[in-house]
Amino acid sequence: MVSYQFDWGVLLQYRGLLLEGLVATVELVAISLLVSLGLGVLVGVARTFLPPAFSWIFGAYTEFFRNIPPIVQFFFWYFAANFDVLPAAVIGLSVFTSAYIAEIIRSGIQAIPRTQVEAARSSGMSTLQLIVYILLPQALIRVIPPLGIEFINIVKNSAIAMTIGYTELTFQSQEIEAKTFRGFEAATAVTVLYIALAFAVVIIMHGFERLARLDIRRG
Amino acid sequence: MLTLLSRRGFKMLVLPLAGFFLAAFLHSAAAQQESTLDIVKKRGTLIAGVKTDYAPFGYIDEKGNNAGFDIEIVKYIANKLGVKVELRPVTSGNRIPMLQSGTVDLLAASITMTRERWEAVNFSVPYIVIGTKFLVKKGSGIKGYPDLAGKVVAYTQGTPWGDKLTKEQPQAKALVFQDKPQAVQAVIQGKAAAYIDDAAPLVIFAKEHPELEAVGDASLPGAMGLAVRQNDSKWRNAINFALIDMWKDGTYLKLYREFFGSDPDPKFQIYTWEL
Amino acid sequence: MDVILANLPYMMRGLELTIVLSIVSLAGSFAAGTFLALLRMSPWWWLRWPAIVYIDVVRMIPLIMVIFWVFFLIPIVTGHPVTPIVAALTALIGFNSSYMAEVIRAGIQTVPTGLVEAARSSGLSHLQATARIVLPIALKNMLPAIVSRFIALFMGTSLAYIIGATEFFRAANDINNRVFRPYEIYTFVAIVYFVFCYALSLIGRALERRLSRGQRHISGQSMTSA
Repeated sequence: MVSYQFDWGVLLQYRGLLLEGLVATVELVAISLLVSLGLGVLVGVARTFLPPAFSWIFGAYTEFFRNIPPIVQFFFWYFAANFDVLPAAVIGLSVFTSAYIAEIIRSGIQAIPRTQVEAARSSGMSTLQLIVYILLPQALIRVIPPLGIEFINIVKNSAIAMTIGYTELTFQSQEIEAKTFRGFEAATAVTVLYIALAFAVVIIMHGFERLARLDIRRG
Repeated sequence: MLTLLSRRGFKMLVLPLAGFFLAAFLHSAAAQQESTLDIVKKRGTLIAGVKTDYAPFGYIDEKGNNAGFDIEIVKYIANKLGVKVELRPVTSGNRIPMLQSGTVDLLAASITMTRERWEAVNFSVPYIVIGTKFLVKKGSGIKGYPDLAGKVVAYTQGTPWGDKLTKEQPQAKALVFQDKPQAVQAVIQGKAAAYIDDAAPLVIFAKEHPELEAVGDASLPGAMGLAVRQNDSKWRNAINFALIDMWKDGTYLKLYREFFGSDPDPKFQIYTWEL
Repeated sequence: MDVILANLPYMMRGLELTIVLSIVSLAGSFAAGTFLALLRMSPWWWLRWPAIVYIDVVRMIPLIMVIFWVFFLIPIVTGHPVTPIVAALTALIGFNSSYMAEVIRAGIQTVPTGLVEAARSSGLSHLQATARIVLPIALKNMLPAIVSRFIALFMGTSLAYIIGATEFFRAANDINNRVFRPYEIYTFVAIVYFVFCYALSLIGRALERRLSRGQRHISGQSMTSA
């Protein structure tokens, strides 16, 4: 077994690439977070409130995009549907994640006591008002923990976008490896950054939860 | 997960990791002294890393066996050394780590020699010169870097074309792929105006897709070498002497004609170091 | 369509490898996960904390990164070559065992302690109580979550593409790299994965329903991620 000389200096030398990758990852994650949340709420609400004749298609959406690996979805949007790199990455990541978020929202809404629904209806609220003002806020607060997990999944799945050429963190780890052959050092640096990102999401979601608890009493 | 944020948690994370890195550092400090030549002779087998997806250098033939120019060279060298051959598939991404870690003794994997690569490994004398080209749509009028201003250019991750492109044409935008055919698809689909790579595969792609053509010269002529680990002159000499013998006894010419269908560049030769 | 039919055998061989990888990884990560779960639940902090660190940290890293890690690390550490399949298996097992450890721990901890006490007071030793009473119940409780993890593993094998293991996705890509028909091929790939994973998820849901009649179980819901 031959020795492997560690050379951590390459990380300093190539910190520009690491920074580029970090920025690209954060960009992709931020956009996909918003899009997938929006899509997920839409689909989840539609599934809960539309009559079965219409809601089945949203159910199909959920089942379909949850059960196809993200890399396949990325490849489809980029190579088959021919979108550009970032749009394909955003669509692939958001659609996949929204299928999971839809389920989370649905169970969050269904966990709200029906008495609130009845009270709202009997005081003359339309269904839309009911959803927007009563159900969604409560549901969203209830499901902050599982949403947090899905957001961390967005961070993790963003790494897969490297396969369609999106120059995010994992891509840059391979770039550094290609230039310096220091794969171990590069992988370490990038792994630490991913862990930092995951921690950031945890802390932010925790912050949201404490904020929400202050202004809405939870029984 | 928040358990990790406690002080105890960080200690438990940092200490084992520090221990691991210390051990790895100490291990790497005790360098290997024995020459690969002795190791190979003792083992009785030469383990060489070769490509399996890059005709005519290294590919899989219809019977499912390794075949190619590089493979034949390895077999010749093993023959000269009096040992058997074991071929391990490598990719552009993992070939150098495979050599550095001792997994293979030699790399015959179509490696173009660059200064950066010389800093990571050592090479034999050049065993072939190659050119590089642009793969473009026919009629695009692209002949060189000046024509690529404001255009999108494709290449595969791990090849040196990204840096070359930044140097020669900073106004071009790069598109990076994992597989060569993906880059070809990009040109066909119009996502990229050109794809830069070695001439050999591009010429084959252009033949398979008549709407494309391989033009121009994307770089200075480059030489490929067989890669060996650094600080191992005994092993490197053995490889070089075998290559020189191969050139002297005519095997090189025979193999080149067989795999490339033409004679080698007349300006190329393997110097025999004899006076 | 004919492109797919003509190349079906090659892709089906890839699908075989996908299935094999998934099953072997499931078994391996169950074993490793049990070991981790025991460490996690042990009363000695020097066993418990490494397990906690491993379980929590591994789940924060993308699986594709774990696969790259394993690919670089094994040759350096062992000095032996690593085939893509072995690297993929190691990565999948190492990654998934952290999830399995949590599933197993939850499964054991949701067994009502009343049952354990009843078993002990009717004369069974601690070992017997655990083996005959707790484990079977825990296992039944865990089944939906295990199915959920199997689905995640099945989808995760597609990432072995990046190191050259010829599973289903890589096989389909090899074909596409030759024939250049991304629409047909990637749609086909999507449908095949969907059929398998959806069927598995239906099984998981059926299991959940049967178990929820009167018994507690762990929902597989939040466990799906790669």
